Amino acid sequence: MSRFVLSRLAQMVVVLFAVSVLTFLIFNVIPNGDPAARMAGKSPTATQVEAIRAEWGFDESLPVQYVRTMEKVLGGGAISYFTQLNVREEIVRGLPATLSLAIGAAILWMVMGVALGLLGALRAGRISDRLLTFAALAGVSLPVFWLGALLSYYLGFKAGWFPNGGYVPLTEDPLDWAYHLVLPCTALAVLFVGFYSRILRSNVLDTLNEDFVRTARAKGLSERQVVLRHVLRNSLIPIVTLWGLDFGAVVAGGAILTETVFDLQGVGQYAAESVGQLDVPPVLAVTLFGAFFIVVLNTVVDIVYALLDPRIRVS
Amino acid sequence: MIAALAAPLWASAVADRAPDRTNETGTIEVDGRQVDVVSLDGVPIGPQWGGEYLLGADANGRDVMVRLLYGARNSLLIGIAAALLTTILATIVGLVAGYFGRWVDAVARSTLDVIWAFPVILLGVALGTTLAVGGLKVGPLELEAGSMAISILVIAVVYVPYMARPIRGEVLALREREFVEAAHAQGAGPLRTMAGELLPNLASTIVVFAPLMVANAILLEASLSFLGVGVMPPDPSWGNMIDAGVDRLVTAPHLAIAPGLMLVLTVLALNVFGDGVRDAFDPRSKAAWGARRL
Amino acid sequence: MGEPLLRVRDLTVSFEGEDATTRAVDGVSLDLAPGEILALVGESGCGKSVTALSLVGLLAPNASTRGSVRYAGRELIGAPEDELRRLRGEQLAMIFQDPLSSLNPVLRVGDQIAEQIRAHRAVGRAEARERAVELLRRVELPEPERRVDAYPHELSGGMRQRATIAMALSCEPRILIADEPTTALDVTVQAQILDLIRELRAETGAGVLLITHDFGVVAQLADRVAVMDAGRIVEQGSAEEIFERPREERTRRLLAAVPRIDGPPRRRPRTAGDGDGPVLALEQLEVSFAIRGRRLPRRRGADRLRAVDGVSLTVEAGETVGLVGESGSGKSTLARAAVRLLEPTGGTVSFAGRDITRAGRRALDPLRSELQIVFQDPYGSLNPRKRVRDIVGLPLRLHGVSRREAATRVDGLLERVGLSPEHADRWPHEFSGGQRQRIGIARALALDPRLVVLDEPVSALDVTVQAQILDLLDTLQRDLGLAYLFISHDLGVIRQVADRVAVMRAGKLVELAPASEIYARPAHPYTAQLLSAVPLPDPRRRRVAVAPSAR
Repeated sequence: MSRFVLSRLAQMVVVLFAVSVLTFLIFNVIPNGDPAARMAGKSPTATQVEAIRAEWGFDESLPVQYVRTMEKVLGGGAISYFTQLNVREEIVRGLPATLSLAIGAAILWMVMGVALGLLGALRAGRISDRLLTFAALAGVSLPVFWLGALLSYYLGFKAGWFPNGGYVPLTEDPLDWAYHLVLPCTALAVLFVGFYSRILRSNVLDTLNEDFVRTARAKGLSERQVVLRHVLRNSLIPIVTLWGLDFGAVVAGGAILTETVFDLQGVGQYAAESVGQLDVPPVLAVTLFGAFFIVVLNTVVDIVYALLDPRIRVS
Repeated sequence: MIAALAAPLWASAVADRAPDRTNETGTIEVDGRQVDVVSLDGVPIGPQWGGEYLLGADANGRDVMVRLLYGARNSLLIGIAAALLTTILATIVGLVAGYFGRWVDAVARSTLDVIWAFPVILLGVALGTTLAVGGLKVGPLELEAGSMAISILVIAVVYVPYMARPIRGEVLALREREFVEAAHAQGAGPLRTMAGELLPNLASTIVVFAPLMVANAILLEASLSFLGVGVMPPDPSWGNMIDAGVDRLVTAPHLAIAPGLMLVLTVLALNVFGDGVRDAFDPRSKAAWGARRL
Repeated sequence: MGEPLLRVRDLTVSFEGEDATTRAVDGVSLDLAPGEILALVGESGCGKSVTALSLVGLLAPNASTRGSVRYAGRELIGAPEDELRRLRGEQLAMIFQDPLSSLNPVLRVGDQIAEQIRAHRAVGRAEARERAVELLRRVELPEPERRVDAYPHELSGGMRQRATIAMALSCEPRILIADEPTTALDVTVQAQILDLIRELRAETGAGVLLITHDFGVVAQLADRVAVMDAGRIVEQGSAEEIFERPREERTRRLLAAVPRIDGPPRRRPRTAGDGDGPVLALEQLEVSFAIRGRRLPRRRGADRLRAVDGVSLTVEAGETVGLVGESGSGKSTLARAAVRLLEPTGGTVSFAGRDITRAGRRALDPLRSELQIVFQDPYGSLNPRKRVRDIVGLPLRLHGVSRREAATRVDGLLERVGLSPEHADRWPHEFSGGQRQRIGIARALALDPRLVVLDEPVSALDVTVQAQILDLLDTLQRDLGLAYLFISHDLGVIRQVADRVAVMRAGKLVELAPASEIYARPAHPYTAQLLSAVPLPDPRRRRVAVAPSAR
């Protein structure tokens, strides 16, 4: 087992490096034009562009540029040329909101997804299942930003049931914090609930056909025991890893749309606003950190998977 | 479902008004009176349900319905093209990686992992941002800024890992089957094996994934346009129409609701269609073990 | 004779399909007495498994069951689910064919046994676990205290099946239903498991309903036999009656088709060789693989698995060399190395005098026509998405034959293997297992090979179909002067076809001799062990348990 963990960690380091190179390429190499001018934003002066060029080393060779870029971004020295604020600080400031949203939505969609998926599988082929499937498909088809906007408007603004935006830190007022998160978490979760319930349903149906389920019944176990202890347990394993990956994706920037719509001032929104201004350093930083987070989380997920499924440990 | 898809395409060919013809100061006749298309404090008229301005106008006086249809054309075009590109790339990558194995597979898998490390939206945003100003220049490939080709390319690349993984998995499983060995025993080389033996068996997976890819591509395009890095105004796209409309939900809700609804319906139609396709290919019959009552 | 333990009368099971209703079991009646072993035997699809499953109500929801199954005075058909569930596992226990898929792969073996115990007895976890260890000991699983915490994939096939048996016995059932309990096991392990079942029957006095297709197993174990075909019981009687005085035609035909190690070979042995030297010569052949991440003890050199370890043998023109071994013996790897699907890591492979050990694709291409292979799995060896014409025609097309010419030759090949040209347009799934093997043979013959390697070509087929395919192979050998390297784990089949026999074990060649000698006077102890483990289809000659260690 430990050999497995070590090899995954080694792989992780390699992927992190590759990710950083790719990010660098995306931002500074692939696009046409002068990277310094790009970074300077919408209407820079010539001196600004020159200053940027010197600071980031754009007049030097590519490897040097790469090192400089990494130094600045990872070292916390990057500054947004639009807002003049330190990028890393801004990211840290937005983190609590993003994490609250992500965790809240993740728990919500996991619970609902599993429940609905299981229900659909157990009633496979019947009307209730078809309805659930349709609902799931609808959920997957709704664009998050549209749903969020509508929810925020109709349930928030018009009906006044929920606040229609903004974020209240947990430390300030737990109840209000939760209150503000209800709509955003729901909007974000709807998409995933649809997706997960379908996958779980499919897994459960597959597992129900397995031989060991027949054995479990032959042993005289109650149907409930069979479903919970054998079917669900085996069906959930791939879902758990998927959940980890999606959670990572949400934190790392998947929340960008929801945050924008609900004005949560999280990391994603920060990136979105920078995008609107074509302000490169924040987008670069968010992308880099986000990708790093995902790679690390991926590795954790792989290890957890090996813990859950003993067959993986030998491969 | 097919109707839902066909209608926008057909209708946009029929629409007679240019989508960017503004009409800020004009008036039209409503119930016999002359009404400003865009009122003095900037509120455009709502759906007229008949004749001109079927679904109302937007802040610039442009006809929402017409924009909707042209937007449909853009969104669908980008979506389908991107999905097609993704399918081709993913199939090639999945086949090659799964077939050759070892170091080729390791390289392919790492590359996919790296792309996969970026959440779809973020990658799309990043690429969209950087390519927004100057366009793309990689070797012989040169694309203008703001062109649809960029959107297509970005969306296509972002989704390649999503599709390449299952394909690769399937190739790995198929490779162990005896009929592949048999082909080798007869002297079939790699190309022959991949094209002749493996590809036909991948068809069902690809066909099942295709509609889903189109749906995802359309959603991603809408998201990117919403954020301002996809299709740029004044070209209409459902995404950027929603973006413009969200600010005016209070005064003119139809601006956001109309494109959103179209988006949802189209994507839903694709998803339902894809689901139906998957069920048709699914060997699981109804006679399988359902669970009895608990 | 007392009251039968199980009384089945007119059992009929139908399945609701999409288009039609199929009747899998049609009016089956049988009795099982306490302490008796009743074998229900027949070919695949005859309904024997469905019968077994219907007894405990484990069929799919779209099955409808009619008739009567009485256990200890209670009617089981139509009984409420609660009642059936209480009986399952406690009074009527089942053992299934494949222990790897019948056990939950993510739960420990001990937990799964304990689960059954606690479902029927009010016992705490600690005590249940102790009972599990005891049960494992009783089924002669070595180191039960350690193995109780193992996961299914960590045990060997034989150990897994023992664990499954332990699980079935955990609540002291009065009836044990065993559905092909040894089919997935090696022959030596099978012998041990059969012994185990016999002992346990003697100890517990339980009645055993044994479902199998293997007449050898039936003869060794059963007191009474019921022969099934197409959903009906064709003949019933004591084991002796059925084997020595079969009344029905169907029974006689089945018995005649069984390949026996003590029977005469299928065809006359022929003198091999045409004076030009052996067609295929393997000299100190070695094929080893690097293993990654396996939990093997760190011995020097142990990080490579030697699948084939220094094997030398030859095949002369026109002869059949049989290669026999259990799973893991390396015979399949050897087959593939011989046709250069794998590259050997040591030794040489020569074809018609030419060394092809390291030959690249270019050098091998012309030889492909001479040296072909037929695979075991009729379902996996044909590409499901290609028509028969394309499958059989591929070798021709690869060697530059035009499409039209290939089509004509394909038609000819199909006829030669007993099919007809109209089959060329069809898809593989439209054919039965036996027919698919014929297609595979046609494919191998397409380029007029001199040698055909056959890797378990009939193992997946029913006994009567097996006989037909063996006849076909014999005819083809005579007509075309083919040499065969025939690989199988079934000693009875090898007896039918081989001129000379090679025995493999753990990568090494243990014995190589003419068939008549090997079967009569095996020189190597392993060969003797193999032969003694084979269940003879003769109830009068029951093996006494040979006592190698349990595996």
